[in-house]
Amino acid sequence: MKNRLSALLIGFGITVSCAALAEDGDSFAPPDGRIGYVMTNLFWSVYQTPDAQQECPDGFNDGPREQFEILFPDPESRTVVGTQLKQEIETWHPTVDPDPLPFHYVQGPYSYGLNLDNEIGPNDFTHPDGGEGIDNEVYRAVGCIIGFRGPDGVEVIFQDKAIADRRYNRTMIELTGVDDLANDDDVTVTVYRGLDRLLTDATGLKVMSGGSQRVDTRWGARLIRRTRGKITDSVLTTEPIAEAIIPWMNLSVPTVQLIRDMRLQLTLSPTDANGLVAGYADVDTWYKQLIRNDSTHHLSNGQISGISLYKALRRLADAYPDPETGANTAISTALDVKMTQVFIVHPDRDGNVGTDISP
Amino acid sequence: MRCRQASIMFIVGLLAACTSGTPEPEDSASPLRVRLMTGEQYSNTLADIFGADIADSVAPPLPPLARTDGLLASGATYAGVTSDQIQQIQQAAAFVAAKVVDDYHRDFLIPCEPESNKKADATCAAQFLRKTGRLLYRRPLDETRVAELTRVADSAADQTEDFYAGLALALESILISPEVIFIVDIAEPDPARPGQERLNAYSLASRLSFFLWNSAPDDALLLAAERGELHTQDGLEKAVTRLLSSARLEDGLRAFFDDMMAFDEFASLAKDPVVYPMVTGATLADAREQTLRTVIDHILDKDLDYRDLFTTRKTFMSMSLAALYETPTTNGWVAYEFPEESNRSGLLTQVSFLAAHSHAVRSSPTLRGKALRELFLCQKVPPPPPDVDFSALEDAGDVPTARERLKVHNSNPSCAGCHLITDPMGLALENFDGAGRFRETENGAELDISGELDGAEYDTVGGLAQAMRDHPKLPYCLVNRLYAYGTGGPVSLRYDRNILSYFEERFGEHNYRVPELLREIAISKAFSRVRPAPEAAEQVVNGNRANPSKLALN
Repeated sequence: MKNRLSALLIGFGITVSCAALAEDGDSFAPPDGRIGYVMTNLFWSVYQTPDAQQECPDGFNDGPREQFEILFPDPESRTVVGTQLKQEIETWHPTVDPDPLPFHYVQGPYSYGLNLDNEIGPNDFTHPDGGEGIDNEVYRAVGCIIGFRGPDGVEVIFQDKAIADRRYNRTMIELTGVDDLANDDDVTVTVYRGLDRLLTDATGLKVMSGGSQRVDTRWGARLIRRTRGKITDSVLTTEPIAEAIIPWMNLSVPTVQLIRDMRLQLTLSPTDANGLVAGYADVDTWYKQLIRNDSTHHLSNGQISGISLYKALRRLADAYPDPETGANTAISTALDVKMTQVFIVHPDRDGNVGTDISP
Repeated sequence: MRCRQASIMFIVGLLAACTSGTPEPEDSASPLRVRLMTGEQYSNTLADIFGADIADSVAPPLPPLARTDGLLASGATYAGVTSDQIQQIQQAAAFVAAKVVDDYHRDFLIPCEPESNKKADATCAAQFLRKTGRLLYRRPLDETRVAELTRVADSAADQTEDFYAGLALALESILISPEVIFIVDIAEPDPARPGQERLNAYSLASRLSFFLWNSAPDDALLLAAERGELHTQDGLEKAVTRLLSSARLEDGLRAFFDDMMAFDEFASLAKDPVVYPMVTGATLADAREQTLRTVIDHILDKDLDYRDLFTTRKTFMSMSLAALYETPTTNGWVAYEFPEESNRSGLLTQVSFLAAHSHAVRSSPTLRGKALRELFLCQKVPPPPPDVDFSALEDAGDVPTARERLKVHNSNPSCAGCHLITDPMGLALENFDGAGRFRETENGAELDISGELDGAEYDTVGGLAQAMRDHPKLPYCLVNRLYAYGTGGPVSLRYDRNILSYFEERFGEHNYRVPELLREIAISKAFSRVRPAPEAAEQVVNGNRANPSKLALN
């Protein structure tokens, strides 16, 4: 095995320093036409103005604590079953019944994201760079909830930390058939789940390029997805992946996100890949991830009312209608993603680069 | 693995028997020494006798040693312990003793059960103390000493109404004994050389064991000593062959090379995280481990020519190191071979050497050249003069490379002399920065890595590696260090010149295979014969004699 692996690694011939070879925008041919990146940051893309007046003119949403005071104003008549347990039950078994409390949606015209349906409709946002037809209804739902707003929102902080700390969350992409990292009209992009810790500097906070990640071919096999893409002026744009699962452990609770028609738009360099993951998030999976990862304590800290948010998500869902009810089951979204170059090790490839385990 | 090594040893032994070389010098002998056990020897001894869990649960209480003539081990012969250190030794002894007798260990570490846990049991106590004391003292205890220790155990058991507490106290008293903490050579008259001395069998057993295993003798070796086998040629060769065939030989060799390559420096080695963000504590620890694995694989597992360590591209890789070497790898340690075009070949191009002999923020041709000469060629590079002016080096102006900076510095004649013997070979390693990462340029300037090593000229890193591999002092230096390491102190150029030449010749005859060199040293007359200290020669009497220590025996 040792010799086999050694031969495999030598066979790769990846012994040059990616970092030393090119700056952003320069022509750079990755060794063997192959370069990998590992995800280091991932979070719902939220367009924010400094005082939030543009997107949230009515202020931010209430969370469980504030709603509790409104719903149960009389301390004398409160019971555990009638208050805390009632709210807890509804959090875990949400409905689309009308919300008795007001909910503040994003009202501004701008959002990050992609035009997923290639249409420009009345509900679409405009990208801050002027691009029209941006589909990002998750942003419309969470943009006025402080827990989802950076840099201090509880969701932002925990998710960033979890991605770095938890191997469960290790998502990678590998680009193959790359002739030039700045411009190539046909590359193959494969999404993998990794197995290893991130390579960091001595502080443990900064992720360094040049690490190695083994592909999880066991539990991660069903997460492997392949698509095609093109690179223009160092920006990779992929075709959609019909259904992608993103491992999403937070606060030690394992869960996932399910993104349909997922595509990537990443600015590439030999050491980094930063940009967007966009697609349609399955609403029930989205919500389950939230409440599995966050207790009411955390939701309260971020003023996130699961009960109200679920109703909003369902109300804003804009794709994949249920064949029976006609209600949309998925909601357009975009996530900010940061990735760092990594050597992706395929342990069972036995030196044969052409026989990937991808579907 | 053991079978493989045994087979190798057998074949090499046969070959050796067919080789007619110069006989060992008749006057060869080594001095008696009293040396402090190293921290690793203390831990290994506890692990071998009581188990690794107990050994790992206590920090070795022994003081750091001063590197002497290239080895920390040689510094052990000049080391003592302060009253504060004695207190630490006592605390460790009490901790270990309590562990040995606790509920989790007593059933398999104590060979008997007392009649009652709540009172003394002299028979059981004596049985344990006799057996364990023999391993810790590295010789059998006479019955007077056993009775003395048993009284300690009984008395304490009576006071505490706890047999095991009493036993722990007696064990503690063994563990703090100077004869346990110090490795004391004991001489006896040598029947083959009237008027001369040799190590007694138990001292020879200890010397062999600490040399090859870096730990105390096991039961079989003590038994061989007890039966007088170590003083017969056949018995000694049989014992040495067993030691060399044991998996513990790896522990011994790792300890030696860790010492020889001054890897203790890694305990305080750090790199500026701004300049070298990829270098963490884990990276440096792995760098040390990588080289040790390379050495062990090369000289022990594969039994290859020692000199080829300086040109081999085969090594082992870990994830944190792979990033520095800019290559992919999988988790754990895996065998790895640098590609031919990688500019990496041999120990000098491994991160351990390159990073350890650099500054925190930049490489240092001078430190690398100095280390190369001192660690592997046993040459001494004088320290800089006390009034040296570094300003020319620090403020060399707008010069991008180390070669140019040193050129400015060496315009001072008082500096140039020493730098001439370090810098040419250190500059050949300038393709590697202070963390050991490959670079084509420094500050944008192309690097000139040409140089020469004692007459061998080169213009590539591979050229330096080959020059090092072919350097006549390379095998000599290993012989020097191994002999010093085995006999417990620095070699004497006055007395040891002939024996070192003999070993060097034998090393060559064995195609520079280290296990055979170990065997030659271990079975040599020099290893067991005692060379009297000039001032003590007249003190030889017809009984055992200890080195000038005042240690009470038994």
